[in-house]
Amino acid sequence: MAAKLLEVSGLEVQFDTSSGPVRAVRGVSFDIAEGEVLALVGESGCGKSTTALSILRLVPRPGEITGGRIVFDGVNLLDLDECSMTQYRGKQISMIFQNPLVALNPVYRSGFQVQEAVMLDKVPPDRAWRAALNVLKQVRLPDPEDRARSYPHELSGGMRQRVMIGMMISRFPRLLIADEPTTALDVTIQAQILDLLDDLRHEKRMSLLIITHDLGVVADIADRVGVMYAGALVETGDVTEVFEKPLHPYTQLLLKALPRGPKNELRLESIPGGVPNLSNLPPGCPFHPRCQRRLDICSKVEPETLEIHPGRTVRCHLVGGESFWKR
Amino acid sequence: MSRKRTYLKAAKNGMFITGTVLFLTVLLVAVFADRIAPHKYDEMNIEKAFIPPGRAYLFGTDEFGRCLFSRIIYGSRIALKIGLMVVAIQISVGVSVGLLAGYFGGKLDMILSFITDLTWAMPPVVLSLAIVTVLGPSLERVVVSTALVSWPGCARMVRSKTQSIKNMPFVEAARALGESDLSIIVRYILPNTLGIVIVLTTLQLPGAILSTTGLSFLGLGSQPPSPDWGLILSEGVNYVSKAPWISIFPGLALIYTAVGFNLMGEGLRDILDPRT
Repeated sequence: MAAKLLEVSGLEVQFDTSSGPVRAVRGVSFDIAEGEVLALVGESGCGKSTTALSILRLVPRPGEITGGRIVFDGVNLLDLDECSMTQYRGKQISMIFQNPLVALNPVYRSGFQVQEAVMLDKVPPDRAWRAALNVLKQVRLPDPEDRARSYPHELSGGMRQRVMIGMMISRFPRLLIADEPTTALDVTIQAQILDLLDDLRHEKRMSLLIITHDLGVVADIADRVGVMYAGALVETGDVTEVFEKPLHPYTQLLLKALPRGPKNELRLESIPGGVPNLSNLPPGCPFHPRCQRRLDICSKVEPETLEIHPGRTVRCHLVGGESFWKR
Repeated sequence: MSRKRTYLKAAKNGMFITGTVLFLTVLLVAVFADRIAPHKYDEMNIEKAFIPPGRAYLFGTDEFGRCLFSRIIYGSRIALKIGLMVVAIQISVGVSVGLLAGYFGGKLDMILSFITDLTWAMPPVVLSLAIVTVLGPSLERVVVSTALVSWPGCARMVRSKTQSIKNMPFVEAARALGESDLSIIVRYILPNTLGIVIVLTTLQLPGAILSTTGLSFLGLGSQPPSPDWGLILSEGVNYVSKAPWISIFPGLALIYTAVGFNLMGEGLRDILDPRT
């Protein structure tokens, strides 16, 4: 396996709200190798977007990174001052946002926005314009010459997402974070965008961190997956391994809730209960109120993260304890 | 496609066309005042005082027999000059304060908003009165004092607009792209507030002309024999029952200019908004 490009360890993010501090991310650790695709999945509000934003140190106020390390290419990003951090954003680490419909500046033409991005590297305007057209070709925007002169509102959602991706990869970042890149798009466009991301990763040896709630997306593109619940990573591992042998009850339920196989054969299951309130987590394992296989200990002690083998971790009392080996 | 479309939109916008025509006539009149005006603005002829509007004197004459038509034509220069000066000062102060307060928030916002509110509470006429009593009446002082108390409205609007824009995903995207705060303010937020700034400018311009004219009316600004519309209006007040045209025509000129700017501003806003 190639060298680790990004290593996040023990990341803690806290939001100071009027009703007291809320721990949105609780001790999240993961790593991404060069050219690797890691997907973070979980229900909305589980802290996956916040984790992604922390890597760029863009957690919106009143959120604050209160602990942990984010080591990118040997440098702990949390030690940098704001000015050196700016050097990393866009150039080393870039991010695609959830809603392409509003992620472009409405007052500039789309090509100009890509050109601007290229010009951040002190490239003269005419060369930057050619580079922008080139990038727009790479993201397979139809008629790049023409579309580059259109305003964002004149483009369709899929085209806007392509422009957005083009803008974000125009400086050849080594890590691209995609925060629900396809959620706002319809299914056909979704598949095209995923293909595009996959190609980019192979062509440019870019690492990808995909944030999604869609396990279909994970299966499509990711090498490894991390499942998040209530601000913590409950299970990580290779996609095939996790999909075939999910260890955490939450992952198992998530997979059961995934539609697959011929219609009418399977009833789609939903997970009973709702996401716990992060400001008022239940004692013990945060998942225990919804867990069908909970033990007595689950409501008392929060499980530790257990490494089964390198790259495969789980955070559950059912695994590793006596009951696991007895089963 | 887009530039052509902008022109097309402008050509179709009735408000904008009307406003521009009104504004351009004022501008042309101001530029070519010496050619258009039949008399000098301070040319007196006591024998011909209080002549009602007619063939010889289009707008009539005042108590010194000065041609009102010529005076109003020369007055357009003053009106445009003070209007543009006041608006230039007020917009540049207001926009900068609004952008900084809205973008950075926190303590800076608190301080700037406090100053804004404090200024907002100051009655412009009283402040101008104070400045002019200390320094003596002059048009420039009135312009500066009017501008210094009229920027808070602009600052507040720009601030609230900035606050809503800075949370838009495209600003977040710009930050993820590695843009600095300054370039985010100048390239991402300012252009998106430009719509309201332009409308504000065109709406404030008649207001600025009116309030400086008002101060001239009170005798604080332009001094006789200046053809300032406010001054003519106030001179005419003494003879309003005998020669109402002295006050009516500068008033009409003011309305004409103000309406022109307003229409142009409203039209411009519609045209410049890429979403309409």
